[in-house]
Amino acid sequence: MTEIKPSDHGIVVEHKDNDIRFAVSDANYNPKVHRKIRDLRPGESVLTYQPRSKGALGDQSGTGTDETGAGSESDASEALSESAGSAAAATKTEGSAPAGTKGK
Amino acid sequence: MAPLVQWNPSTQISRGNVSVGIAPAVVDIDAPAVAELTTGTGLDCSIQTFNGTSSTDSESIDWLCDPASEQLPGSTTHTIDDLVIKGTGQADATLIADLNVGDVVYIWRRDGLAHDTAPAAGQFVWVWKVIITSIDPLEANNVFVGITAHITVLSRSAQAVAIVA
Repeated sequence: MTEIKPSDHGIVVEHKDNDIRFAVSDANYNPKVHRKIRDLRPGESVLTYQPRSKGALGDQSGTGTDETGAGSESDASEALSESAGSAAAATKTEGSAPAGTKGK
Repeated sequence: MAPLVQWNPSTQISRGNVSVGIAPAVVDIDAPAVAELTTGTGLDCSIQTFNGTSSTDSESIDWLCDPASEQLPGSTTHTIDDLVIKGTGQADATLIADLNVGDVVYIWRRDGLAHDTAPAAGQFVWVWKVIITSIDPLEANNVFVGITAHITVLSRSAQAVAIVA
């Protein structure tokens, strides 16, 4: 889990404390507090990536912004495929989300 | 006619009643959440001063018919003075990691409450979306060891905004 796939312009991470997704450059990736979601796609940048919370994603797809909802689903599946080597960790990532939501 | 109401709150000193923190991510700087602010690190005990200001340039238009020029407000630029942060010089990895040098982080400040009061919904904070562009060692003199963080402000909350739950 600590080894991240090299990318030249940043990655999307989830903070382990509050489950908010945001972008950091590779140099600032800290496995103690960040959970890697995916590399930034072409066209995205660390500075322009808008942070989003997991709860907000659920709300948005519920209110009918289909694009955002679809995007979040593909993000999740990407995260799964990218960390296929550590399937247990990926399951943990998915499982921890509802717990965090309940806590709020 | 009613008398003019004077705005005259009791005077509060800033020392002990201001908290400043760095948060890794805030989804909406005009509606920061408690969990977003508590995830970061408080700096109140390691800085001596914090100054966030803004400046606005004005456009002047000189109409032929009018000897006085018309002034229009231009764009506003927010700035934060360099932050001088106390450090150890040898074991500052946690602080440096929180600064995420080169990436976007969020600096918040809460005035008027004892600095160690836990952030809670309804409290008013100012939030800056910033990039710590570089850090330097502090000037070596006989005071204390630390770093200077140079900050570029990308945007700021409209004013002091309430923390949401």
